[in-house]
Amino acid sequence: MDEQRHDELHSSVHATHPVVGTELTFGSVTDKISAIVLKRKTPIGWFIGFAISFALFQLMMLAMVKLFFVGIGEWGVNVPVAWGMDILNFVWWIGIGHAGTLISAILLLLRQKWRTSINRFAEAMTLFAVAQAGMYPIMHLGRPWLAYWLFPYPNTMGIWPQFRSPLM
Amino acid sequence: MTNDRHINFKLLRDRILGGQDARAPKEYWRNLDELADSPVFEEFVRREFPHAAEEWNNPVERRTFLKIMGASLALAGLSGCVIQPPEKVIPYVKQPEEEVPGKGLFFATAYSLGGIATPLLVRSNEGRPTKVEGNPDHPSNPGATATDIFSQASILGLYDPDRSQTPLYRGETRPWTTFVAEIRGAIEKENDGLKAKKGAGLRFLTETITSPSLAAQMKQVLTDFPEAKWHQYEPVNRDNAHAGAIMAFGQDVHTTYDFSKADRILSLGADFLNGYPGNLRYARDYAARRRVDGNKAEMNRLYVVESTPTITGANADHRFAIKPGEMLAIAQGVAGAAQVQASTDIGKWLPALAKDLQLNKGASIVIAGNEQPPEIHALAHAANNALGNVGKTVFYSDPIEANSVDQTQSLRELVTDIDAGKVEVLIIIGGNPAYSTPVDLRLDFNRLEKVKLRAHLNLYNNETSEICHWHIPMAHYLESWGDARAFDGTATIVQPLIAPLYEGKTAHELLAVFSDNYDQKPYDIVRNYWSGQKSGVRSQESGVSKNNSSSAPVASASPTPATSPTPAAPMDFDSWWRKCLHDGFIPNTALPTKTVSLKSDWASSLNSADSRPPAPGSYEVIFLPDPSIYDGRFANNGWLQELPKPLTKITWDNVALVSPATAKKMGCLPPNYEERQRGREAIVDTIKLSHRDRSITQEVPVWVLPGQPDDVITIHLGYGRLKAGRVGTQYQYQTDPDGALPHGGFNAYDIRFSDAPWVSSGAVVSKTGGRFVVASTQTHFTMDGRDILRESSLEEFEHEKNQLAQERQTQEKELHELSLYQDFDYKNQGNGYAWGMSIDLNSCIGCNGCMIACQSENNIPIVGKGQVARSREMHWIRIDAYYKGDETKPEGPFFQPVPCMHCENAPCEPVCPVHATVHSSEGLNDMVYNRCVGTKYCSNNCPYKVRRFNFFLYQDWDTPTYQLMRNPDVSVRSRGVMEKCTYCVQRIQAAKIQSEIEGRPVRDGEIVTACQSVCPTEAIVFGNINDPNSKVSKLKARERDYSLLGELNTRPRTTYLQALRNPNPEIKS
Repeated sequence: MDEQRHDELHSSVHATHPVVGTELTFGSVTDKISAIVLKRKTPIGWFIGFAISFALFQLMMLAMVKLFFVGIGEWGVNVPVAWGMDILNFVWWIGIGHAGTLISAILLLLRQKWRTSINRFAEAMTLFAVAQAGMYPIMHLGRPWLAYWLFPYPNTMGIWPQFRSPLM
Repeated sequence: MTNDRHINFKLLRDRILGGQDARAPKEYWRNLDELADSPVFEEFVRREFPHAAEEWNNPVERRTFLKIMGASLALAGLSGCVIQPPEKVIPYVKQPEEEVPGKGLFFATAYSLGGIATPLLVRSNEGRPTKVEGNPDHPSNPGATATDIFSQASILGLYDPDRSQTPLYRGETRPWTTFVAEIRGAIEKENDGLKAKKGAGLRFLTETITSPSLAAQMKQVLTDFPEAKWHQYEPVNRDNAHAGAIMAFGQDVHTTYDFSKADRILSLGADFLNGYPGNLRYARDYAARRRVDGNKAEMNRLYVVESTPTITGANADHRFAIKPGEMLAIAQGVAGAAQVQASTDIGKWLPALAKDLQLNKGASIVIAGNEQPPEIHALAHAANNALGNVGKTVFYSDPIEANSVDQTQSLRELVTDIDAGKVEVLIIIGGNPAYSTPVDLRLDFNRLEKVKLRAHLNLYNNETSEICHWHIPMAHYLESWGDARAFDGTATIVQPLIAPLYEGKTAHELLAVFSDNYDQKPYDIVRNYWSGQKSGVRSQESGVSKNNSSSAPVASASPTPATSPTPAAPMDFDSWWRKCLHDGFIPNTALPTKTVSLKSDWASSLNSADSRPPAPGSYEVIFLPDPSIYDGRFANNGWLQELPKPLTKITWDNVALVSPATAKKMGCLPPNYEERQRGREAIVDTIKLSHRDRSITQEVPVWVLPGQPDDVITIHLGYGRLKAGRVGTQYQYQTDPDGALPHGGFNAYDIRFSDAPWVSSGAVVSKTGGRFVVASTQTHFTMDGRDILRESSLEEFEHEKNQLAQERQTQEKELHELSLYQDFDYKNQGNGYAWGMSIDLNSCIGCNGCMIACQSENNIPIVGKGQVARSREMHWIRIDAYYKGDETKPEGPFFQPVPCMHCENAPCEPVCPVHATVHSSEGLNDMVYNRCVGTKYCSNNCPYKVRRFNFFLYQDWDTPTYQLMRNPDVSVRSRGVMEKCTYCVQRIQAAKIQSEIEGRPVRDGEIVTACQSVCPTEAIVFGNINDPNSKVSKLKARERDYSLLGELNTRPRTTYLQALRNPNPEIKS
C-alpha cells in the first residue's frame, strides 16, 4: 500500500511539478556548480586582498622569527612592567573569540531563524581568534621552546608544574 | 681475502700457462681465485648472490615488521634529544702545588690608582684571576676586605678584548726586540746618541709614581743620563695639597687621618668617604664611630662644606652648599675667627660650627679636598694645629710620592722644552696625555711632531698611542711584578696572578731598556730592589721557611685576619720575601710620622688668593673626576660605564650638573622622565659650554641636581673619548634603532686650563635647543610619604626607640596570625641554618662597591645604554637614593642598598608556573635557572622589584677572554631566564662543604657574601639567624631594625637598620 502511494506521489511529482528542469541532468548541474570554481576567472580584487594579507602575514612571521631568535626584549617590556603588548594581545584575541561565541549564543537564545550563516562565520572567527590567542602565551615566554613544561606530563626529571600559580 | 694461503697456485699456474681456455677470450678477472676458478671462489660467489634465497613474502610477518618499523620511526624521535658533542676532561698531568680544581686560591697583590695602592687578595681559579677582594692583613686597613669600585672592575680590564696585544710601530705590529733595538740604537749611537749627550733630549712622562722599585730604577736611569728629565703628570693629582702643605709648613708633607678618634669632622670640600687616598680606611673608621648599638649612644658629627654634592656631603649631619669662591672665607673663619659673609646660611652658623670644633679639641678633624686651592689646605693645617689635632687625629709624614712635584708645573716644563725643540726622545709611561692634559698644555700631534722618537706604554691603543711612533702594550697589574704603596706608605709587592695574556710589558721592563742590563726580568728588578732594602729592614715576625724559592707567586690562605706575630730571630731574605708575598705587605714600611710646625708667616700668602666673584652672566665651572670613569682611563670598562653614579644614577654619560634655579636661568628644563615612558629615559636639554676661547665640541646635557649651588656648573672628566675601544668610544648615532643611543659623553678636558684645573670662572653657556636622552636607573628620588627608608636624628631616635620596638613586635604578631600555614621550623627541620642579612643604613655611604662586587662575583652582564634606558639593567643589588626636604635645600640623599629580600612568604614563589623559584630549607629563595621558562610572573609579583630578566642574550658567549673571567661557581644565564640575588649561595655551599669535611657547624663570619666583603663601612652583615650569638642576629634585635615594606607580610630575611643623623642642636637649617 505504501509502495503504491509512494509510486503515485513519485510519478505525480514528476508529471506536474518538476523540481528540476528536464534539460538538466546530474552531469550538467555538476558542471554548472563547479564552473564557479573551475572556469570563472579569479577576480583581481581577490589577488589584491590576498597580497595584502600575505604581506601582513609575512610581517608577522618576520616578527615571530625575530622574537624567537633574539629574545623577548622585542616586546618592549621591562622590569617593573614585565607584561606588555604580549599578554595584552593575548587578552585582545581572547576577547574577540568571546565575541564570536556571544553572537552565536545570543542569536540562539533569541531564536532567530536567520542565524545559521552568521553563526557559522562568527564561530569560525572565534576558532581562529583562539588559535591566535594561543600563540601569545608561547611568544611571551623567555624560553618558548620549553613551553611544554607548563603541562603536567610525566618526565624523567620527576617534576610537575607548580599548580598554585594562577597561570596554571 | 688478505692472506693467500687458500689460493691454489697450482691451479692457477696451469690455467695461465696451460693455454686451455675454458672461457671466452678477453675475459677479465678481479682476483686470483676467480682466475683459478677455484672452488673457494665458487663458494664466495654463491654466498654473495644466493640463488637459493627465498623471497620474503610472508604477509603476516611483513605486516608485523612494518608495524615495528613504523613504531621505531616514531619512537626514534624521543631519543633524538640534543646529543652533546664529546668533550674531553683532562686532569692535570703535573698539578700546580696547593691547587684543588674548583676551589680558588687567593694571592695578595695591590692595585695602584693615582699612586695610591689598594691592598688586595685576588681569587685565582685554575690559574686565572676571577675576583678581587681586599686584604684584611694589610696594616693600612686591618681586618677589612673592602675595596673600591676601581679595584673590583679591574678584573674586567684584565680580560678586556680591546686591550692592545702587540707592540705597534706607526700602527703596525713589531716585536719587542725591534723596539729595544731602536732605543738601544738611539742610546748608543756614536757622537749623537743619548749616552754621548748624557741624556740631553731624553724625557720621561709618567703618572704619579710611588712604587719604590720603579722610582729606584728611574733614579738610576737619571743618574746614567744626567741631562734627562723625569716629568710626572696626571689629570687628577694632588698638586694643591702639596702646595698647601708647603705654604703652611715650608715643606711638602703627606697627611693621614685617624677617624676612629674623631668626634667632630669638618670637611672643606673633601670627599674623604669615596674619592680620596685612604678612603677605605677613613670610611671604616668613620662608620665605626657612627654605630649606635646598645649602650653606646654617641655618634660623631660630620660637617661638610662643599660645592658639588658628593657622597660625603650626602652623609653629612650638616651640609652647606657654597660657591667655590666662598670657601676661602669660610676656611679662614674656621682657622681664625673672621666674620664670614656667604651666600648661604653658613655665615650664620659658622660660629656654632667653630664652637663645636673647639669643644672637641684633639678629637676633631678639619680636612680639605684635593681639588681645593692650596690656601684652603694651608688653612686646614692651621685649623688642625689650633684645635690640637696634630698627633691625635691628624698625622704628617714624608710624601708618599717618590718624587713629589707640582705635576702641572712639571708638565709645563715638558711642554716648554718640546716647544723649544729640546726633546728628542719622549717615553710616556701610562696615562693618556693627548687626551687628558689641560687644553693649553695639550700634547697633541702638532706639539709632539717636534719630538723625533715617541713611545707610549699603555693598556690600550688610545689617543696618545695614535700619535706616538711606538706603542707598547702594558701588562695589567694582575699580570705584573712590581710594588706599590698604600695611603699610609705601607709597601706591597704586586705579584701577578696570570702570565701576561698578550705581549704586555711592565714599566720596569721599559725602564730597564735604558740600563745596560736591558733584558732584566721584572721579577728580578723588584726582588733585587727589596733585597737591597732588606739589609736595612729588620723583620720582627716569625719566619716561614720554604725549601725552594721559585719565581712563582705565593698563595695566601683564605682571607682571615692574621694571628699576632711572635718575635723571632731575623729571617733570611728568601723567607722574608716569601712571607711578604704571602701576607701582601712589607712590614714596617709605613711612612713614619714626623712633626712639622706652621711657618710663622704662613698667613701672608693667603692675601694673594684670588676670590673675585665671577662676571655676571657667566658661570663657574667645577671639574671633578668622574665617580665611575675617574679621569677617563676606565672608559672602556663596561661595568664602570654602567654603574649608576651615586647621586644622579646616570649611566653611560656625563652631564653638566646645575641647580634648579640655574637651569631655569639657562632656559633648560629639568630631566623629563615622562616623555617617552619606555623605562627610565630622561630627556634633557643640551647646552654649548665655552670657556675662554675654547668650547666643548659635543653638546652638553644639563642635569638638575638638588644641592648644587646656583650659577655653578659641575662637569665630570673622562668622557668624550675618541679612541677607547668598543665600549668607551663616543658613539654619535643620531637616530635610535633598536635601543642604540648616543653615548660616551662630552670631553670636559676641552675647556680645562692648567692655571685653573679644578675651578674656573667665566664659562659661557648657550642653549642649543637640542635634546638628549640620558639613561638613569632611578627616576624618583622621593619616597612620597611611604615607609621605605627610615631615618631620624639621634635624639629623636632615643626618644622613640622603645615605641619603635613595640610597633615592630605588634606588626610581626599581627601579620603572623594572618597565615593559615604553619611556619617551617628552621631550627629542627633542614640543616639547622637559617640565613639572614642586615643592612645598616646608618653606615651605607652609597659608594656602589656592592653593586660592582656582585657583578664580578655572579657573572652579571652589562646591557648597554639603550637597554638601561628601557629599565633593563641587570644589577642584582641596587642602591636607591632618597632626598629629604625641598629641592633647593635638600637633605641627603640617603642611600639604601636593595638586594633580594629572600622573603619568608615570598610573593614570587607561588606564582611561578614551573616551580623555578623555590624556598630552600635554609631560608633562601633559590632561583633555578634551568627550569625557568620566562613567564616573568615572579618579577611582576615582587614588591621590591629586585628580580632581573634576561630579555636578550646579554651575556657575551663569544669573546674568549670573558670565559676566563667568569666565576666558575656561578652559572652564566642565557636569554629568557630570570635571575636575582642568591645570597651568594655558591659561597654558602662552599663554606658548608668545608664545614662538613671538618665535621663542625659553619662559624659566624665564615660566609661572607660579595657585597658584604667589599663594603668599606661594613654596612652589610650576613649570617645564621638561628644562632642568637651571631652578628646578624644581634643586629636584627636592635630597635633600629625594620623590614622594607614589612606591612605586606613578606617577612623578608634582609632587614634594615634605620639611619641616624647627629645634627648640632644649635644649628637649625
